Amino acid sequence: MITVKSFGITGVNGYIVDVEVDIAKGLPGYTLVGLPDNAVKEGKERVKSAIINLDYKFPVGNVVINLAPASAKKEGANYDLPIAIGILANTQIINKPMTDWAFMGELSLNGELRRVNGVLPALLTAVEHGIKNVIIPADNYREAAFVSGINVYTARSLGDVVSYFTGDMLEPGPLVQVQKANFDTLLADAVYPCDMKYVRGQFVAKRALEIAAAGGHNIILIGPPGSGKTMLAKCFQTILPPMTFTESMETTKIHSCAGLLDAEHGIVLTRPFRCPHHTASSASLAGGGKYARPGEISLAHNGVLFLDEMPEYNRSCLELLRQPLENHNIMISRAAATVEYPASFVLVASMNPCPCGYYGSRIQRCKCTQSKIQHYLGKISGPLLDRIDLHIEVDQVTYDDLTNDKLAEDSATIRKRVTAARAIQNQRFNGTEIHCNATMDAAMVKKYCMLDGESEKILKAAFENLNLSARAYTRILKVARTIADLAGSEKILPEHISEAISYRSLDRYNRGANE
Amino acid sequence: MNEIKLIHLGDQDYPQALLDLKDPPKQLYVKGNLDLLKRPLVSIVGTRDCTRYGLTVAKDLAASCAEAGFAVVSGLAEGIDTAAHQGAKENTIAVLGNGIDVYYPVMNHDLQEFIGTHGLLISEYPPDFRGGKTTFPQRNRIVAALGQAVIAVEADLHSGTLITIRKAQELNRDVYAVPGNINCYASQGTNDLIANHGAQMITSTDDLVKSLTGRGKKSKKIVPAKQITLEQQNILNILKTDEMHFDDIVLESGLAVPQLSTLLTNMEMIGLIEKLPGNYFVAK
Ligand SMILES: Nc1ncnc2c1ncn2[C@@H]1O[C@H](COP(=O)(O)OP(=O)(O)OP(=O)(O)O)[C@@H](O)[C@H]1O
Ligand SMILES: [Mg+2]
Ligand SMILES: [Zn+2]
Repeated sequence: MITVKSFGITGVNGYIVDVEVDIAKGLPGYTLVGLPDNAVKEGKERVKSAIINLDYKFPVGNVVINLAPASAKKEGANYDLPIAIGILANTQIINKPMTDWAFMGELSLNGELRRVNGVLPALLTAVEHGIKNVIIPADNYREAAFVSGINVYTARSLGDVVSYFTGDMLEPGPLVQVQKANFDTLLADAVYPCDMKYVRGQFVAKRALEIAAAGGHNIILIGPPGSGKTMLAKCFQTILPPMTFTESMETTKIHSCAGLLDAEHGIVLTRPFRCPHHTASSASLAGGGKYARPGEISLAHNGVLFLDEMPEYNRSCLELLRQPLENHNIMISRAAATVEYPASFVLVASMNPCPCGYYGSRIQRCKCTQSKIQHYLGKISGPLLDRIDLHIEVDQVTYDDLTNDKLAEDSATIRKRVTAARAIQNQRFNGTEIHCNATMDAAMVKKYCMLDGESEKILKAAFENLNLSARAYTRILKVARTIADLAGSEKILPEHISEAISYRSLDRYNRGANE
Repeated sequence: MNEIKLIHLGDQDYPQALLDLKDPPKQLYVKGNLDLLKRPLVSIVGTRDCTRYGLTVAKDLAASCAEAGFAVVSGLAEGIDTAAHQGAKENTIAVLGNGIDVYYPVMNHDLQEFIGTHGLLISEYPPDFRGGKTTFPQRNRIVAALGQAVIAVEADLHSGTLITIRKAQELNRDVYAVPGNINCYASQGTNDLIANHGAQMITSTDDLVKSLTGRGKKSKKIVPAKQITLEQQNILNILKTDEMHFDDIVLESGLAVPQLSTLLTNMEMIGLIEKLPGNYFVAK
């Protein structure tokens, strides 16, 4: 019996799979066991064709393949290559020791290697287990370029792999050894899909987005159709601080498992911006489902989840956000086990101020009654609203503003300020689980958001005079902390509190009708 | 908790003003502070489909009338009625088109509760009567008759408010209307009342109170001049003519966004300006 190493994935983490190949004398047979799903099972036939098409003989006895451990469900086509290697080793085509090697890759019928999902988590697992060499498909090259402590080779075909192992193995020969890439150089060249400088006017919205980015605060934009909500939200990712290497690896792992990396973008370099449509199912948002893929909220890990027209989403989808907003991960129960996907993101939501969209607009008349508006606003439940720190009202910019660009700052400039504010927070929260002001717990708020007498007075007056609801209290303190950080001020000053108060318009809307 | 009381036509507590009606209610169910009926009364009415301007004006007028010693009568409907009751605080009488124990409209549940406790609820229908197509117009005749003056805040050309006003005129009540933007649907009825149907135009809250009481009175709490800073005065000047969007105030004032946000919030809290939906600001 021959054992060849490969990898399986649960959630976004890898584990070692031993591919055991045994050929017994007797009636010809070809079986695959060890909890394979359909894609794995079909691999049997791909492997057979690939071997035959390479002009090697397929063994005549009873071929049994076992994927161990048998308890974990194996998914996907990445076992094709290790199975083929196991068979060829059994038939003595390859007769080198395999203990230091692991393999993953899908085969085409004529033996070409195709890219597979989950390479990054697999390689990280290989490093943990001290595996020295791994062979992966050529199209997965970029994904491997950031894993150190291991030799990774890429191959174009089964033929490449076989000729390497039948040769003297001194030179990579037909294989290509993956060169380590420099993360910081790549990061410097990261391209963003848009820039704040093209957004005209919208001063408050931009300022609020800057605060949201600096403190990791969730934000909702409220405004009539065409007021630029979607545009602003898309630009939000461009003012977030650059990804750290660790963040990039975390997010890449998730995107790798979801099969979203293409050959050119081997890793995720800019913070993801995910905008699931409001008709999206709970499974596509949360993850799981038949093939155990990470959902949209995990794909947004370390980036932005944008819910455009938030009240249009299914109630159950919105409720599902509560856990990740609180714990920064999501647990998915599957038949066999519960898997955990990371899901730490900033939520950016948008909504119209009323069902027709024009409440408060100076351009078109709102046709909604107060009770219809109440009902519409009520679609976003209190507990969800509780987790959104900043509420911003936007209106269409006028023609004058659209044609006047003298005040538009570019994203890079804003990003610098945001990054500086994050540095202060990193120092503040050094040694704790959290990274930014938005995620402070009650004790931290008490410790880091101390107010002087004057600020206390302002906050008290705001609750008395502006109809703020009680839930606004902690939100305002956290946002004021971020505003102070942006200003480089150790203390929260009265002006920081006043500004923070101005970003709570939804509290006041909600009260508007029955104050 | 107040009890519901029943007053019959001819009882001592029965409001004399209703006797001007051809068909005065035979009985009234009441709940709350009956003393309000002894005050001079002003009715404030208007459309449910109103604008922000209407809401603000209704609230301000009601507040000034209450401060000048009037009780404010209205119909507890959405929109202008609601704003009028809110502005008058506990000095208000709501006349219902359904029984007092029925909460309608639902969104005004808390307001109805408040008025039943601190103000006064009136209905000519038994407590659990649910109201119907005709009972709300019927109720309007009581609103028209109770006030010595009736004020229309906003109404389009087809609004039921105009029927209430016509009723008030038949009953020889003083009729006032609030002028508005001629392009705005919600002011077309009220402007028409002023232009063609003899309503007196209200040009300010002071103006109304003076006209109602025959004496002048400052209705607004004016912040003493020394408390207004130069910065604040600058903003007030910018907002002198019209409401303005935040972005435009940035451009006019030359202030940075954080400073302006801070300044506007503070000004709003001391009542110098008001923030409107859509991030617009207006001087008070
Ligand atoms: N401030 C702005 N600067 C530059 N272009 C703008 C601005 N606001 C809107 N636009 C233009 O108008 C288009 C519509 O904006 P956008 O789709 O972001 O609005 P929206 O508020 O999301 O509308 P809807 O509610 O209909 O989805 C944008 O594609 C953009 O080209
Ligand atoms: Mg949009
Ligand atoms: Zn509307």
